[in-house]
Amino acid sequence: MVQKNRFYFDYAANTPVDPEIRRFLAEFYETHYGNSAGIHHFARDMREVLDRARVVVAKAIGAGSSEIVFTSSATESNNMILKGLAHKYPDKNHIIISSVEHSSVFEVTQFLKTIGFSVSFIPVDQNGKIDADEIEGLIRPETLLVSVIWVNNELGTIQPLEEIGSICRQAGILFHTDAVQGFAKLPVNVRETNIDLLTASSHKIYGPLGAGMAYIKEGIKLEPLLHGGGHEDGKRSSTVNVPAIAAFAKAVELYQPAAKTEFERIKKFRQKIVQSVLESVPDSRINGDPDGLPHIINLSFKNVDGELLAIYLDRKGIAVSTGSACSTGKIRASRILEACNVSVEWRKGTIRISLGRFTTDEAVDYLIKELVNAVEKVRKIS
Amino acid sequence: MKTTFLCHYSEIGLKKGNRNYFERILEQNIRKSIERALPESEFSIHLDYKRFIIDFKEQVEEERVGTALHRVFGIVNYACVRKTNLELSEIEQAAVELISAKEGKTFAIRTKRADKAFPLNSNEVNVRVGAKVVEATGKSVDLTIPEITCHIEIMKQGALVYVDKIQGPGGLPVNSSGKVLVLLSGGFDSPVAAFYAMKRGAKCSFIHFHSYPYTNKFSQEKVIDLAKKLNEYQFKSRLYMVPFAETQEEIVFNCPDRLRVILYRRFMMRIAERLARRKDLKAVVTGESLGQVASQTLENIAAIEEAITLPVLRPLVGMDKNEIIQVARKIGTYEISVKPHDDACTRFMPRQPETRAKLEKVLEAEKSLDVEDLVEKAFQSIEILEI
Repeated sequence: MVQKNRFYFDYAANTPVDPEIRRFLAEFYETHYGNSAGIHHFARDMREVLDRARVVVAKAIGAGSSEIVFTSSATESNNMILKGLAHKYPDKNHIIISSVEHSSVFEVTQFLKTIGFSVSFIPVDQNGKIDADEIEGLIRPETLLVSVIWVNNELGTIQPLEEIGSICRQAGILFHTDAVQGFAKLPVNVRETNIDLLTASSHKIYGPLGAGMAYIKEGIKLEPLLHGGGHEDGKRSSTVNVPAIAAFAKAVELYQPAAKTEFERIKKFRQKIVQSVLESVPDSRINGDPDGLPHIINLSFKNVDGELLAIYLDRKGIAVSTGSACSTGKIRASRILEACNVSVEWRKGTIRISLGRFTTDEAVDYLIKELVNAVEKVRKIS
Repeated sequence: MKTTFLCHYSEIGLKKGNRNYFERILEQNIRKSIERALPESEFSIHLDYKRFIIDFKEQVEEERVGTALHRVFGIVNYACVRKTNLELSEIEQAAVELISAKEGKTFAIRTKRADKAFPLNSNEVNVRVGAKVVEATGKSVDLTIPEITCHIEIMKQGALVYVDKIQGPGGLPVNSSGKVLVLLSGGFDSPVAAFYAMKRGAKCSFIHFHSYPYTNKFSQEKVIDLAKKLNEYQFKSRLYMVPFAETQEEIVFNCPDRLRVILYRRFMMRIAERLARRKDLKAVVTGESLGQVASQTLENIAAIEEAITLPVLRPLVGMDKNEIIQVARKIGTYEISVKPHDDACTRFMPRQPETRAKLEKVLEAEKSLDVEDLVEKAFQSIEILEI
């Protein structure tokens, strides 16, 4: 869990697996195997586990268990929902999304544009928050759905799901939310909030990688992304990753009661980090909504190369992520911060620090000390 | 009919003392190249009056032999030949058959006598055979610009008759000049530089510096493909992969950003030199051309070369980019180099690279680095690939 001389501040990307879940999985792999779609004893055992997991995950969002489809990731879930609906309702060829969606929604809509869909964006304020009233003006007769990320992965900003839900309900439009960063951390009830579709994954709440889910309200039909043997009630063919899903459910059960105390700790850490950095580092700012989820801290340093900063910190044993990436040789500053109208000299110098259950006082103090030095040093060479 | 090929090599620069050595290497290279291109064939090679004659046990595809010979540096020209006994009638018959099979109305006969014991001299052979061809084919003789040239080489054991003399790659046989280390990137230039080094008889080992994990594995695969392509000329190669990200990081975080590229290259030279000395490679070859990019000004080349004592060969120094590309197309590295890759991640590129580095400043910048430690660490983590 803890690596010597290394400090993990990237919980929003992937949380370490809870030790109890690790033990659970080790035992599970010893005692359970077989394709859950089979007819024999082994398969039936797997199916039972799967059904129980479905109940747990459904309950966490106030859904019925038949409304939950397990997938491999939230990216898959988002693809399944958006493409699946687009296939089923080709006449409804307009989609509304926020301008701060995760790539797994944004890029899918860019793909859908190539097959005749049009996409409207709900603008955000400088904290990355939408004004739900803006949605009404964007709705057209051919609007298929509104998709808004619940908690933004770069900023932690929380969107007003209830307001969006009631607007969509009144307009008779489907409402999807990418709930990855908020799932299990914040309470939500899909019935009361009028959410028709919701996606989440296991590896943000101390569960294993490789398990995701989609809530699809009863009655909504969509074309499967994966055709085949008819697993998951025909909605997602593929031998079901029962161990990961069972552990996912376990993570939900473990997380929810612990969430409150965890957040109290995280809030304190957050306050300390933000205060120290803003005080000691010239030309620094915090992005996102002050009322957002506290575990995500998005900091910008003017005229600093954010990726060099992240590399420098990594050399000091501090793992953070950056808003920019040079995957193709070009530096791309964050699309999300651009939507928040943050200018490029700030955007380039952005890092995301995300906290979690195993963050310690020692790690936070070390981070603060090194970050102050690092910005000074990297600013000179940026 | 059994296939026979004839190869000539360039004699220029060969002295009595080294001819044997040269011929022996060339023969080995011819053998290896044919064995690779036609693994199922049986053949023998013998040297006869400064010519290599390759006798296949059966008929084989001429094109495949041509491809094989075209990759053997040292061969000036080659041809698929008809062998006859030392009887004029047989020679005439072969010439008639070969010439009548070709399109074109005019021809010339060019005879060389390696065996001066043959009763007719070269000119007499030309005349006699030429007359026979005119009679048999109706084509006419043109000695200045013939459409078809028929060569006859009179050897001790028999005559060789052929019409298609194909220009070979020239140069010196690979391995006849010694071994060198080529700095191979994924770009267009360095593979062409390697080609020219091989052409002048150098056997090349390749060294590639990669910034993994800042660059992806695909970029390394590209370099492996380039080495495989170049290996067509030398039959066996070694590719040394050097993880370079840590060195780059040290430079980025401790030195002025304008000097980054020069410092990277100084470290590449040092690591290359260390390897070359251990492996008994006598020089380092780079794809640098004068003034092509910022790091290739004379000042920068001097600042880079100061870090190495081995000779640095730059075969492309006189070439324009489009000439380099042309050669890359010819030797088949273009298709590989053109694929997109992130060579040294732009993360690590300075905003404004120095174009006229002062050596004192470079040396001053290096003081903040533990040069020996970085070089040795990189050297120790080299991965060796047999191509």
